[in-house]
This record gives sequence, structure tokens and C-alpha cells, in this order.
Amino acid sequence: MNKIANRQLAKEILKNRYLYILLLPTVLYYVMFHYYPMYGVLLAFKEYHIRDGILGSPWTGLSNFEQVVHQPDFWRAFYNTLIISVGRIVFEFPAAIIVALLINEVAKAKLKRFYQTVYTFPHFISWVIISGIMLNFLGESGVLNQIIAAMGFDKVTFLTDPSLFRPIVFLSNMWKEVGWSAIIYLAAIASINPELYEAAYVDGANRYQQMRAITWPSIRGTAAILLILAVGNTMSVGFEQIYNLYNAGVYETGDILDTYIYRTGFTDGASFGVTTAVGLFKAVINCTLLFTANYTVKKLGGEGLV
Amino acid sequence: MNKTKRFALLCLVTALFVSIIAGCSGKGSESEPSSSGGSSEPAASATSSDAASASANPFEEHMDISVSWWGIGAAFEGQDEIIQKLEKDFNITFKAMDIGWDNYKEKSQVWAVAGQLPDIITHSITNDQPATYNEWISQELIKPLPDDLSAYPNVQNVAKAEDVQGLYRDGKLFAIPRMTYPNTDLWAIDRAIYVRKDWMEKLGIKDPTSFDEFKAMLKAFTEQDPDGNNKKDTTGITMNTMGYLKNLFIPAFPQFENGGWVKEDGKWIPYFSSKQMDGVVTQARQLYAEGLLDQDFAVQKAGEGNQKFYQNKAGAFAIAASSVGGATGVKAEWEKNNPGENFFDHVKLLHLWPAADGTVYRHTTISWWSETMINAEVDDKKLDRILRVYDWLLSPAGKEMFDYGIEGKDYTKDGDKITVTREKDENGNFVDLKKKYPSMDVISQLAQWRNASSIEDSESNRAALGDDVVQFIQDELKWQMDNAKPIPTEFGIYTMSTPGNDKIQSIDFDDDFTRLILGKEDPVKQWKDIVKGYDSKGLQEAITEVNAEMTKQGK
Repeated sequence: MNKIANRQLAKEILKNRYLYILLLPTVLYYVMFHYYPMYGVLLAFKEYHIRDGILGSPWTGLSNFEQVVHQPDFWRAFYNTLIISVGRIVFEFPAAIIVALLINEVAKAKLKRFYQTVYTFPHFISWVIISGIMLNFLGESGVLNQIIAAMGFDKVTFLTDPSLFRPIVFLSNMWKEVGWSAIIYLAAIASINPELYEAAYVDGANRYQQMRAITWPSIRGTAAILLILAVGNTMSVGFEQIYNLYNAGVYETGDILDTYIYRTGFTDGASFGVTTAVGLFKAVINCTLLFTANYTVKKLGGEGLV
Repeated sequence: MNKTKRFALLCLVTALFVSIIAGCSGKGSESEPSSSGGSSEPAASATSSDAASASANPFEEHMDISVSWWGIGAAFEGQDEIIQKLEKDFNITFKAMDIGWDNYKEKSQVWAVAGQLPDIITHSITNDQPATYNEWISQELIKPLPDDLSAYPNVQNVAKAEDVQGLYRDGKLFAIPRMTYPNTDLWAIDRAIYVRKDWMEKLGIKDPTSFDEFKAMLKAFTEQDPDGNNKKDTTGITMNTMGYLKNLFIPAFPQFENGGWVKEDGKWIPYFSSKQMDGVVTQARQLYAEGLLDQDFAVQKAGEGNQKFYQNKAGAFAIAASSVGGATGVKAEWEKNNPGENFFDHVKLLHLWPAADGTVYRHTTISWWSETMINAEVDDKKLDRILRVYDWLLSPAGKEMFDYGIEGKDYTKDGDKITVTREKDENGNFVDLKKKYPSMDVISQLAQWRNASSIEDSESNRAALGDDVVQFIQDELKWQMDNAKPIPTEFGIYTMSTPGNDKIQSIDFDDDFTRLILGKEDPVKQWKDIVKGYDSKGLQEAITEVNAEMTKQGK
């Protein structure tokens, strides 16, 4: 029985060999750049000696982890990572859906394209540039503070006030990414059969009712999958953005695990074992959250990833 | 049709596949020569059989030497005559490996891990991360210099300097420190507060003689519209980097400025644990909270604050006195923003007031900043060649070239008398040698900083910088020598290596100090909490070990 199945599988593969060949570079990419370097996590349990390499360095058990959990800065970074990540899911995730729905409601095709382009464009600016723009905009002598001063109020230290850092992170990322993230929803919306809208129109549904009864159910599946992915990335909340925007004044609310690893590992010269331990810790939590979210979505009747 | 098309597709995919593999493996093998430093090895083994002829002409065998330096890629690109001369004289080819001021520590660390360190490593770990220096030694990443350096007398001089002794490990020296000045006195002009004297005159302010008077001056700059544009758009003081701002707190606590250790209640402690920090943190907080210190200082990158001074938005500015001259110096930049005005009519240096003991102190520190290290993979022959190059770079002949350019082309020499003959620019000044020879900046500073050369009162400096700039620096140096004393500093502790003292190098003091300045709670209490947090980073062990060592030395 098994043999027949195997033969059939082989036959199928042979039949579709060109598709498999097309797939090969992608598989190879993942093996080479994502699976092969994975042995590096061994460092989390070793004391890294540069000359001996990763495999040759001596084992140290869990001592790197012990060292990590005794660092107050680590827990601060851990806590900040969670808060910022939850904030991203609560504020940034729905923003893309809302923008997609709104753009979809724009009647004129030209205007629709205009808005889409305007919203998408900031995605292509790097954070290094944006941080410079923000300093000019939000700094002490920046545009915003000049307006505030002209109106007779005290200037606000937007960029060094710990209580303002997270809102700034959310808002700036929304500004930069919302149009880009909306594309996938717009694509899903574009694939909806127009007859559905026509039928609803004939039945007397207004725009809002059409959106609720047709558009939203059609993109709900996409949103669920993207939500699972977002949850799975909870512990990776955008190194590039935070690194370019933060400063010593806002470590309290803005230092995340990625920036903590970078700072301690490269600038302060901490051991690679310790920073790998932090990285591994992060990955394990991400993985757990991914499966939890997937499970929950499935339980709620949605379509999961795995 | 299908078959041909499919075949073509198959070929295409295979080609793609092969090129990816080739691309990756190519990278791997490429990195090997530089990691083993062995591009010269085959040649070395070929000639080693004939040792006699090798010793007759030490430069017979051609060598490739990789070297890292800040911005070296652009500097070496043009292959100007300076680099050509050096490469020809020593029969070498330099392979430039670029590092940046913002990332050189990270980059070197990554190279170290990947086994791709250059033959000549430029870094600053002997100053900034002694723990990493020790680690690189114990992991055999860097090569010790020969015990007998008599063949390279100029290098030997550096190795014998008093404070360099702290860099020896088990009797061996693993770095050639890049000396900043020939003596520690000259550090005096490496820190300064520039101030707008025209603003002071306009507002009727005299030179401050205490911190309170200084604060009052900054307040006037901020609130009394010194530039007369009817807008409240000026601030008190801005800075190039935090390091320069620290100068301001010398009167409150001298050792805070140079990061030294102090003996308090019979015990050696690092400056940040000292009771005297109370004064520093209180003053620093006051400046910020009252809006007298550039409110963006924490978010600005190095150098961004300068613009506020150049554009008349700040009344005082912390940077080095010696940074005044040159094409990108304070004077040139200020005049660029204020066309038609003479910098010296508007700006002067402010001198600090006396400390609690009545003495005026000036900046001093260990006699080098940054160092050259040699990759452990470099063989003895290549090490010899590198040391010969360094010996020449440190020699009077080297200095002559860096000061005057190429003999016969840029200057002529008659006995001791040197006549500069190089071309002049449209303003009638001699062209800047560094502009004429882009590699000059790197080569001249590879073995030793050229700070001293650039501040001395010499014919070449007067030609290149102008009389007023040279005089400005000389006047400041003289004032400092006549009126101020160097901060009492225990230099030995900077390089003392104990497990605890190595560990506390990971404390990011500047970040914590920045946080304190920006903070809202009581500064003294906040500082005490921050220092308490240092205990978990090994502070108490460090104090115990350093004290044990100092007792041994009878200090």
C-alpha cells in the first residue's frame, strides 16, 4: 500500500518537477540564511572564545541566563518590549485596516490612487532620515515648538520625555507604515466580487452596511493571519526605529530587548554568550506566542497558519 | 514548443542556483587570506630559505598590509604621492579597511568574531574598554611587540613612556598607543568654552568668576535677546559632545572631568562614587531645567550642536581650543554662517573659575588616545616591516613630510632652513596639504596624533592656519600654563587590570549622566540610586581590588 503511495508521490513530483525547481532557490535561501546559522544559539550556553569558534568554545550551562536575569536593565527592556508590542497590536494593527477601508470608499479612481501613493510613500524612507526629520520637527527649536512658543505656551521636550516616547514611536510608525500595510487589505478588497455590492445596493444597503456586511467579512481572514504573524513577532518590535529615535533620556520607557542586546554586546563589550542568551529567550517567547495566537484564532473559527 | 521553453527555464534556474552557491562560497574563500593574513606567506616561505639576502635588504620582499582607519577608503582611493612614496620606500601595498567614527567599535568586534581583523588594527580599547584589550590578549587575537625594540628606536620611545607601562601584560606590550601630545600639559587646550564676547558686551556682562555668575550669564543669553531679533530663540550653552561639556564642571569636581579615581576617607574610589558628584549633578540639572543648556543635547549626534553656535543660536559652546583652525574648524564654520564678520571680533575663550580649594584646574589625562594593534596572524617578517614603517612615521623625517609635504615639490631645504614652495589658493594662502594629498590625514596620524604639530607656533602652521589662529592657540596655552594646574590624576588606575576594574568598564556613565540631567526627581538622590545600581555591575569588587593594588604600590 505504502509503496503505491510512494510511487504515486514520486510520479506527482516528477510531473511537477519544474515547479519544484522553481521552489528550490527559496528553500535554499532559508536553509542557508535561516537554518544553517541557527547553530549559533549554542553560544547561549557557552563562554565564547573568538579563537575557538562557536563549536569549540567551552560549555557553561545556564550561567549566561543567570547573569541576564540579574541585570535590572534586562527586565526594564523586557517590560518595555512587551508594552510597545501590545501598543503596536492595539494601535497600529487596526490602523492599516481602517485606512484600507477608507481608501476603498473613495469614489474617484484617480483620487484613490493619489491617496494610496501618498500613504505608501513614507515606507521607503529609512529611519535614519526620519529621525533627522523628527529632530527638526520636534526638537527644541523645531517647527512644532516654535508654534507652541508663538502661542505663548512652554516648549515641550518631545524627544527626551520618557512619557512621550512610546506615543511618538506608535505615531511615527503609523505615519510611515500604514499605507504599506494597507496594500494587502486593498488587494483582498479588490478580489471581492462586485456583484455582491450590486446585490446589496439593490436590496437598499447603504455604504456603511455594505462595508460591514461585505467588505469586512471578506478581509477578516487576511486580518486574522496578519494578526497571528504580528503576535508571533511580539518580542521583535522594530530595532531600526527605536535605535534611531531613542536616547539615554528615554531608556526607561524605550529601551527594548533588541537595543539592549546591541548596546551591551557591541558598544559596552559584554560577552556574546550573554547577548545570545537574551536573543534565545526572546525567540522562545515569540514562538510560544505564535502558537498560542494560532490556536486561539482556530478556536474562534478562523483559519490558522499551521 | 514546450520542450525548448522548459529546457531554457531549467537552464535558467540551474544557473541562478549555481550562481547563488558560487556567490556564497566565493565570499568564504575571499575572507581567508585576510583572516590568516597570509597573502604574503607563500612569498615569505620562498625567501626564508635565503635568510642572508633577506637581512641584507629588509625591504626586498613585497608585502600586502591591511590597515583599518576612520574613513581610510576615501583617503587612499586616489593613490596620491604621499601614499605612493610610503609604499615604494617600504615595498608594501596598503589594503584599506574602512571604519567609521560611529561604528568602529562594533565593526572591529564583528571582524574579530569573523576572523577578519586587518593586519594593523586601529581601535581605542586601551582607553575605552581595557577589558576587551585583556580579552583579545588572552584569546590570542593580537600579537605582542618584540621584547627588543632597539631596531625601532622611535617605537621604543613610545613603549618606554611612563604611563604606557600599564599596558604591558606579563611583560609584553600588545599595542602601540597613539600618543596625543609629547607631554600631558598640552591637554590643556583640548577642552575649552567658547563664548560670544559681543553678546557679553551688549548685555554688560563681565567674565564670570563663579558658577552662579556663569549661570546668570547664560540666563541673560537666553532671555535678553542678545542677537536683537526680537525673538526668544537663543540658548545658553551647546556642545560638540558630552566629553567637552564636562569641562564646565572642573571647578565643582576636577576628577569628574577626566574620569579619574580619587582618594576619599582613605580609600580610592572612581569619580562617580565620590561625594563631590553632588555638586556636579546639582549644577548640571540646574542648567538643563532652567533652559540654559541646549535642550536637544541628548538627541543630537556628535557635532550637531555646533551648528547652534555657528548660527548665533547659542552664546557659549564647549569644544577643544585647538579646534579653532582649519577648513572645518570653529572659526571657518562660524564665518561661513556670518559672512563678512571676523570670528575673533565676536568670540573669545572663557576661563574657568577656581575650585573649592582656590586653584584653577585644567584638563589633563593619559598621554594617548586610541592605539595600533597587530593581528596575531601576522608573521614575524611582516611585523618587522610594520614596525619599520611605524618607526619612520614617528621619526623627524616623517614629521618633516607631514609638516611640509614632499621635498623639492612642496618645499626646499637648505641646511636647517626650510622654504615652503607649494602652490597658493585664490586667497593667497598656501593650499592645505591634507587637501592636496588626501592620504596625508591618515598616514600622518597612523602612529601618533598630529595634535601637537597642528598647535605649535611654526612657519608651516602660520602658513596653513593664519597668524591669528596660531596666536589664539598660543595665548590660550600660555594662559593655562600661567594660571591653571593640571587635575591631580592617578594615571596608573586608567590601565590597571583587575577582574572587577575590567568589569565596571561596561558601565555606560555618559548615558546615566544624560538621564540624570533630563530627570525630574532630586538630582542627588537620583544619582545615589544610579550609583547603587553599579554595585550589580561589580563596583564594590573593583574598589576592593584597586585599593589592594594601590596599597601594594604604597599609594
